[in-house]
Amino acid sequence: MKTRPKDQRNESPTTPDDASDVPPPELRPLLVGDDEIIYPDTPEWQNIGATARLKFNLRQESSRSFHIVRYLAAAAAVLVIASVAALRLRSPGNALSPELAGTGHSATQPGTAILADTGTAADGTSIEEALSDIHALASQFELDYVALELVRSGTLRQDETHYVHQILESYEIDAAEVFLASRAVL
Amino acid sequence: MSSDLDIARERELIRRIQAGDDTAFDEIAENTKRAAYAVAFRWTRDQHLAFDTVQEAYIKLYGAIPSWRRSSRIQTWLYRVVTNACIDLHRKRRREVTVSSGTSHAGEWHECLLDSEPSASEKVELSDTLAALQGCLESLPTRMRQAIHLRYLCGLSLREVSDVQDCSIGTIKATLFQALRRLRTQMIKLEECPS
Repeated sequence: MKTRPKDQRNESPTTPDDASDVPPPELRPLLVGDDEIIYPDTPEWQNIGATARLKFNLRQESSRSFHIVRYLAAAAAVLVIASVAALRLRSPGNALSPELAGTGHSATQPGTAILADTGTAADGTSIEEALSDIHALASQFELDYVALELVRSGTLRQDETHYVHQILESYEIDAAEVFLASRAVL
Repeated sequence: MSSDLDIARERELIRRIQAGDDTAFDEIAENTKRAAYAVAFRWTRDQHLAFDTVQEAYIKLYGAIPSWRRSSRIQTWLYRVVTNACIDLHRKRRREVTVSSGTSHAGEWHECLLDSEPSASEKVELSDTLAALQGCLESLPTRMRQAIHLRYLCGLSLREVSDVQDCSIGTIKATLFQALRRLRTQMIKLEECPS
């Protein structure tokens, strides 16, 4: 690294072709000599290569976990759609039942109609339970989506999921609770 | 300012890293870290910020080396990454300071610059000069600031600055010329109308 005495830095380029090494006098107050630079004296600095490698590998692992979460989110979304579809199409034999025909329900939404009328799906699952399951999956999907968006927009890094949890907590949402509920459905 | 590695050695180390030898990366880091840190420290005037910036640069470098096909030197690449990070950091801090306290970043910035000044009266005088100078520098376009910083405050050669900015030496000369002209014009304006 070149070091120049400050008192020699008294000329500056006056034309574009002036290739002088000397900094212009206007910049003198900003000059920092080599001896004024304070180098760190920490193990991280002494082993900066190894530290950087370690951090890079940790981020890679975190990134892999992140991708797994992303796939889970996508799977949850598919499951929500499939659940809704299943609820709508359950017991197709009942679709054209006389009761439904008599009450004027649309024959294109037989499952929904049955659920609306009886509060029970054909296999005996209560509508509250089914909707609760869908809600659990949808909630997890939304939280995953929020986390993805925060990382995608550069607001947070992939290894900063605890900040997402803090944000959610401020809205009285317990991310762990949502996660457990969605896994229970799966 | 340059790396302690010659080109042949650097290429050999890159090949070794690409073959899975991590100790070669450590050797590159050991030979380039002081120069990279000096650039970061001269920009941030803060030991911790400078270290964080340099460490981030090495993390990026480790990720970039497996597919390294660049003709530029690693030290040059580090200068570019470090100065870009410093510029981003500076912007971010300025936004934070403006939002949180409504004060100008120049104030905070020149407080750091004054750390080594002994006399109170000199401090006041230099404080004004530094604040004005820093304000003028900050108003320059990013490439001009980067060129001035690397060339005059960090002592890089025109060739090195042109490599960092990926342009010709002629362009760097013109950039420096324009930057200094703008800087002087602004300083004159400030002297004429300090408020």
